Amino acid sequence: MKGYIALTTVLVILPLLLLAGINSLYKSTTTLIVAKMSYDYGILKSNSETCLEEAVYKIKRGSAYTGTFNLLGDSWSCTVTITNKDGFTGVKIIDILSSDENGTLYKTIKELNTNTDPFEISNI
Amino acid sequence: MRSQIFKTKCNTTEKVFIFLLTLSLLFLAYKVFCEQITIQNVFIFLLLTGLFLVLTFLAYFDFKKMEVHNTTSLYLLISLAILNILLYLIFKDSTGIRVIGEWVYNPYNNMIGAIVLGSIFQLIVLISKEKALGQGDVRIALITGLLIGMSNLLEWGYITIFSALIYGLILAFKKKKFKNLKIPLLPFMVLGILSVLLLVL
Repeated sequence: MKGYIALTTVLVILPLLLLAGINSLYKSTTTLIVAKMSYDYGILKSNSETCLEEAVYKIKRGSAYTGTFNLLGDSWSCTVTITNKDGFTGVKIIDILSSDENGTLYKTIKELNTNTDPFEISNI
Repeated sequence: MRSQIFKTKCNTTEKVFIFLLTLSLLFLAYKVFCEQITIQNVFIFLLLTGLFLVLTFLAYFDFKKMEVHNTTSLYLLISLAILNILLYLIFKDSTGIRVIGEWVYNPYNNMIGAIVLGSIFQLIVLISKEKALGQGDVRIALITGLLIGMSNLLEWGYITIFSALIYGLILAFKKKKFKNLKIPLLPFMVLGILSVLLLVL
């Protein structure tokens, strides 16, 4: 059984192999970027829970509380805006905008009912 | 006395093959026994040593005669095919069998690799009517797929094609002939297999 390769064949295979390699490299890079973004998003989401907790704590201390405050972490920050819901006494709207040093943003809006004990929190 | 025989009876080609085989076996021994020496490790070392010897013999034979040794390659292909099929049937749902270190032997991945590489090589043989590639290389392509699997084919391809290209260009400049120049592919395929196996271990 013949066991050789023509030099021309090697030269033809080479660019195809390089193309496959570049394609694989791009795929790996994209996968890495997506994984990093997903990780950052998860961390930021977890951090924004801290901001929500802080907002609920502020409302618990003073049920009439409305306004805006910022929380600063090591590599992230959040801006929380608390407003009263029009036409509903004792119902607050908590608007949280979190961001990290990589520019990832996470926005969440919650509705807090202070008329019940314990408070009821729900998504909008 | 023995070194005298080595010097007189072995030419440069043989010395290169012996040197590369010794180097790969030493590296294999280091990789296998660096953590601990167990019966399982010794068995795997002996198995891989046998495999390395067979592959080096096939490479040497091809380098000398531009032919793939028929019976040796056939026995190797059959035994690897049986091993992969048996392992696939036994560990059907498993993602792979951790043999040693980082080396995970995945029969499904290996069979896919063999089919893909074998098909590409056979296609080249059929299209070029065996002018671009020898039929014997198809068999070695199947063996390669069964040994290293689909996931390592790109690395193997780079090592094989680049080493073959360097050798081919050197030969072409020496012979001052580029057209219809044929080079043995099997030694470079074996170099690729050994490198990939030693790297993943």
